[in-house]
Amino acid sequence: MEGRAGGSPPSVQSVTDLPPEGLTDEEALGLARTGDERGFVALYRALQPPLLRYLTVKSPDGAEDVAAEVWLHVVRDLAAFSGDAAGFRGWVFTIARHRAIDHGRARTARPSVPVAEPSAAVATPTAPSAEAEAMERDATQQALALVATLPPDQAEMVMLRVVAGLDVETVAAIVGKKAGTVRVAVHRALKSLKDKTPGGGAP
Amino acid sequence: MNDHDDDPLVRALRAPGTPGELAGERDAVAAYRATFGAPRRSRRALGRLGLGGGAFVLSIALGGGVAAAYTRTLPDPVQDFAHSVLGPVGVPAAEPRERRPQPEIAAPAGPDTATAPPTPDSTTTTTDVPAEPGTTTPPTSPPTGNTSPRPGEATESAAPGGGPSPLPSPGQPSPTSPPTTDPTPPTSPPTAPPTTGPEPATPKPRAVSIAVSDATVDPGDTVVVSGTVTDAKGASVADREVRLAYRTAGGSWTVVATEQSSSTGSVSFTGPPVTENVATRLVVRRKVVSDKVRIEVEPSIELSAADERIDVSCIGGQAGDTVVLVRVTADGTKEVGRRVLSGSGTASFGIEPRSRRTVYVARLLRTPRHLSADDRLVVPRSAQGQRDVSGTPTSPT
Repeated sequence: MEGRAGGSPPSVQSVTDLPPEGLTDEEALGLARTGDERGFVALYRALQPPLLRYLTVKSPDGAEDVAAEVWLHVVRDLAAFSGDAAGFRGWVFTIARHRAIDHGRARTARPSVPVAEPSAAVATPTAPSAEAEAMERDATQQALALVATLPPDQAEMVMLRVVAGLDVETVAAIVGKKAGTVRVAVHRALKSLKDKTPGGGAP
Repeated sequence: MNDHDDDPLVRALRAPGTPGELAGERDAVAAYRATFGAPRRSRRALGRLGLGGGAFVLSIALGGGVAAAYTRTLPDPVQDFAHSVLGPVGVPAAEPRERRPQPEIAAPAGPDTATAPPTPDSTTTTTDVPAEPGTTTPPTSPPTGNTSPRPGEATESAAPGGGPSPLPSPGQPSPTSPPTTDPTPPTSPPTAPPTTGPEPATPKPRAVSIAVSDATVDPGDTVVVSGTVTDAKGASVADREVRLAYRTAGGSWTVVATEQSSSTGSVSFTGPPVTENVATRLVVRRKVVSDKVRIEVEPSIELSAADERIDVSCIGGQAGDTVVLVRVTADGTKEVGRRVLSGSGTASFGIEPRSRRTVYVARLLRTPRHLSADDRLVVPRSAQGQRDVSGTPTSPT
């Protein structure tokens, strides 16, 4: 959601020729709402990684399932959504929070039955930069593990503010706290995590 | 946050998404397609859904989504997606797709399919609707009253790839249940013992089914219409003259082809090129007429930009049809203007120069003669910067 990849096209071009990465977040949202799949793909690729990371902290035992539920909900109600790209991002993470809470309640009420891990069957094919990707993924996983050591409320605010990229007011609205509380909590949490990390922050 | 932007921890948390994190993209896109339609026909399908169709989709999504997932009555992509999400708690996967053969699509179940019950058999329907033979006179009013075809209402749910179509639920009639519009079920038992005469009576045709190869066509395409002639017991009737009749919007029924049924009672026509929406049916004789099936024309529309102008070129539209140009914004769309198509199928819009790249969408509105069509165009800022090259710009709308 950080803008389009690449510069302006040199000439008039049908939007159907543009890759999803070539769309700004506002364009992607506008197109997705009018039924253009590329817009939705752009939104998904921009939001799914932070969404999954947020849910890894918020609902660690079912992050992927909850994320899938969130997208099902988003697809369902996208046509009725009104707002800009920032509002859309906040809406998605609000849904995610509610779904994660529901998931936690359901898990408490219903004992889990261990089943075979299906991840091997859906694993992504190895990319050419698999080694670099693995290192990056490890760093991200370590960082998420560090955030998960924070108190749950604080960890959630960090994830919404840092990973989801939501502004303070939106985070405050989602978690039901004052903006000042969010600002201070996130600052203290990041400072605390930095102090915990050997070498000043490298996870 | 700026104080921490350079923290390795923050950078790690914000690292680009990995392919593993995006592994669910296909399922999410499938769910999106199920709601908004396939890429090529998405906008048309969405437009054809209309208010009622939209409410139907939304009701599936909001009201009965979870229940529908458990009863396996969602559209297949959504069902698969729901299964992938809720499979551990018992939501089944979609059923196999062999029940939806591509070559044949469902014919509407009565003269007015908007009010007819869903047809259990998704391939063909057989009925015996009293009606006049295929002549140039308009049909009499059917029991349900409405005879004027409205675009999109007859075959929307049956069009292949035309958006989600509800599957019959387990509680709905079985495929062998007679249509409700059939006053005399063909399976009624004989009331007299078998005759012992020297020769069996010649079977009399009582019904003819109909199926079309495509319910939505490009302008000028032909459609294969097929059917089977049967008697009161459902047995095929051979060597019967079957007429293929078309009716355009506001027109009358016209016979466009005639064939003899084969030894298996089947008949197949390749109809004339379809240049506007038509209703079609097969006629064996008076009171032995198939259901009506609508064949709808999907026009094509193309946009091109020059100077401060967007030109629209349309194939399949009619002179006088309305084209609407809108600009895509973060809040949706904003109408730029409306034009009517010229005799050559073109229209032009003046556009204001904008300081950023702008996405425009032009839509040819649906009429009784064709479906809607739309196309998008991105006008980059660099192209607008060259607007003075060719002289005086067109006045913006």
